[in-house]
Formats: sequence, C-alpha cells, structure tokens
Amino acid sequence: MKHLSPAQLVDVVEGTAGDTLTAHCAGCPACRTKADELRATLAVTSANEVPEPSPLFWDHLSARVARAVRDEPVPGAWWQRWTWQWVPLSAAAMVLIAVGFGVSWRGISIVASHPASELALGPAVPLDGIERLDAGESSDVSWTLMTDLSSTVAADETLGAELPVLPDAADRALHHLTEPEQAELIRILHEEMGPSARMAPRPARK
Amino acid sequence: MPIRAGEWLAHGSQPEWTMTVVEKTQGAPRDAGPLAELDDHGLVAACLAGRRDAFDLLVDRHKRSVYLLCYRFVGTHEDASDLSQDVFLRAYRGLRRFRGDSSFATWLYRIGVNVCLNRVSMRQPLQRSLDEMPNLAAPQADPAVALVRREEARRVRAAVARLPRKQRTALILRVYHDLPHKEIASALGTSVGAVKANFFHALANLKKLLAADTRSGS
Repeated sequence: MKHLSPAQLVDVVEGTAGDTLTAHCAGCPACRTKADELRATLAVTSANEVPEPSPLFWDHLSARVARAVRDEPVPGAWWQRWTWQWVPLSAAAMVLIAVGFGVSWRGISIVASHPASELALGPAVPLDGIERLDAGESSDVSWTLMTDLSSTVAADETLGAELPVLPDAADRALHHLTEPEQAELIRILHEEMGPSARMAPRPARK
Repeated sequence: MPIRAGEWLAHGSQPEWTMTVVEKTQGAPRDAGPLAELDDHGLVAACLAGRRDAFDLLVDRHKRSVYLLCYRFVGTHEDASDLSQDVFLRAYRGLRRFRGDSSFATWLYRIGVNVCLNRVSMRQPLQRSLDEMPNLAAPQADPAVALVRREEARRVRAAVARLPRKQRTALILRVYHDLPHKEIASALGTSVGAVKANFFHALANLKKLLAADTRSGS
C-alpha cells in the first residue's frame, strides 16, 4: 500500500483533501497516526500568541516609517512623476513656446518680405502689411492674437511712445558694424533685393 | 470630539486645568482625502506618481501584519520594530518593481521574509527572560495560568526559531498569518507542493523539538 505524501497529509489535516485521500487516511493506521500528530502539533503551535505591543506603538511605527521614507527619493520612474506633477506646467510652457515661435516666424517673414529701405525709414512695418500677412494665416492662433493686439495701436501713439525706428537709425547701426559684418549685410541685401539694387559700401568705422 | 474635564465636574466648579481627550488618529492619515478610498494597487500607483502620503496609508494598512511577521522571526519587540521599518523602507524603494501580479500584502510578505531571514542569519535572536517579556494584551485572571501560557509560548517560539529557514517561513506564514499555500509559494518564489512539504516537515520537526525540550526541562 502506498502511503500519503507529506503534501497529501497536509491536505488531510487542513481538510482540503479529496474523498479518496480522506478514505485512505481513515483506513491506514500509519497515515492516520501521522495526521493526528500533525494536528496535535499544529494546535500547540497555533495557540502561541505574540505579545501585543502598546497601542501607542502603532502610531510610533507609522511615524518612524514616514520619517525614513521622507529622506528617500520618490520611487516612481521619472516619466510617471512628470505626468503627475508637471502636466499643467508643461502644457503652459508648450503654449508659450508655440506663441514665441509663431511670433518669431512672422517677424522673419515680415523682414524678408520688405525691402531694407522700408525697414530702415519711417514706420518700419505698416499695420496694413501685418493684416495682409494675417489674411493668409488666419488659422494660426498665436498670430491672430498678436495682430488683434497690434491692430488697436494707432501710428501716432507708437510715435509718441518712441517705438518706430528713427530715420537715421539704420545709418547709425551700420557705423557700429565691423567691415566683415558690413560686407555680409550688403551681400544679404543684394540677395534679398535682387540684382537691381545697388548700394555703395559705407566707409569703415574709424 | 474633545471632552473637557470641566464639563464633567458637578456643581459648576471650574478646574484650574483642562484635559483634552483627542480622538485616536490611528488608521488613515489626516487629509488623506480620496486616497483612503483607493485599494492597495491604487495607492501604489499614486505613490509612484509622487504622492508620498499614499505610502503612509499603505503602511497603516499593513504595519500590524508586518510587525507580527517580524516578531515571529526575531522574537523581540525591539528587533521586530526595527525590522518592520526596514521592510517598509525596502518596499518603498522597490515600489516600482511591484507588478501587481500578486496582492500588495503578499509582495510585502516576500520582502519581510527576506529581511527577517537576513537578520536571523546574521545573529541569533535574543533569549529574553520571562520577566522581560512584554505584557499580553488580554491579561489572564489567574496568574498561574498566565505564567504557564507564557512558558508554553516561549518554548514554542524557541522551537520555531530552530527550524530550518524554509520550514520556519512556511510554518509562520501558514499558521500565524493564515496565508494560503499558493500565496506562500508566490511570496517565496517556489511551488505549492514544496510549500506543503516544508510545512509538513516543519510540524514534524517542531514536534521533536518540543518533545526534546520537555525531556530536558524535566
């Protein structure tokens, strides 16, 4: 006769064994003796209580763990913390970057689409010029915002605020350039204004 | 609600002092808010997302079982307290590795068993005298009965402490923490059959150790 294995005896003692194993244990003196011994030892072991600590101990333990944890870095991966804490800030930063990029891009477009003489003399960029650029880019929210704001500003008010470029500002700015810078500027202007434009190089700054 | 001693006094006389009885705050930390409604997995996710107070709630939920587990291994309040803190600290550090395949409690047991076995292997648990043992929560009416029970408990703890590591772990998790064999297997990274075999041998060896202790005592 094959006796029950240790795992099967545990099942019998815990009452989770099937009918076959239980019947075998009932009819096999050796297995029954082992099962009875296990039950007796289990009863003695189970009755062993742990001394209950003071009720204050549990709060004390929580405080100890909290102090220890406070010195530790947050355990999550960096992207998990990023999504939780930095989403609003990141969204705001992205909007700012988008607005800034849009404004810069339009600024480049304006400079590129106007002759240098216009940029240097009088009101550099007429308001109707801005409106013209905006007409084709009405879907750009940041650009719409900028044109909305600027469209309410009158030319006289900008003069009063000393915002426009003064008539001789370009000349004075040229005097501050070095010779290589002046040569590069002339090359760019020739490139932008086409072969018809002719500018005499200014004398080098003393 | 605070209760002031002055309200208890008869004849309207006011005391020179007041005593405020504050409601016990054991359990959820204050201002836990909706975190307290989350299950363990939700708290772990919140903690990984940067909410340290979520871990405080996890500690509150599991500190008792972790402490009892540690006590079963080391047998002293001081060591169990230190080990409990260590278990939670390791759990916090390794929280990212908790996959959620098992319950958080099982995962915590696994850490606890490793921490305890490491400590136990480094040094033997202190054998404290009966006078040094903390008072039981429910004091016995008969001092003689209480003394016998304490002595019996000490003998059993000493015998359990002498069991091989795997047998001791299986016995503690099964008998004192009522973990199913499957969860014990998950916590120990072994099979259910191996856990049952270790449990069987633990009980068989415990019987021998207790019998030997009785013979040497008499």
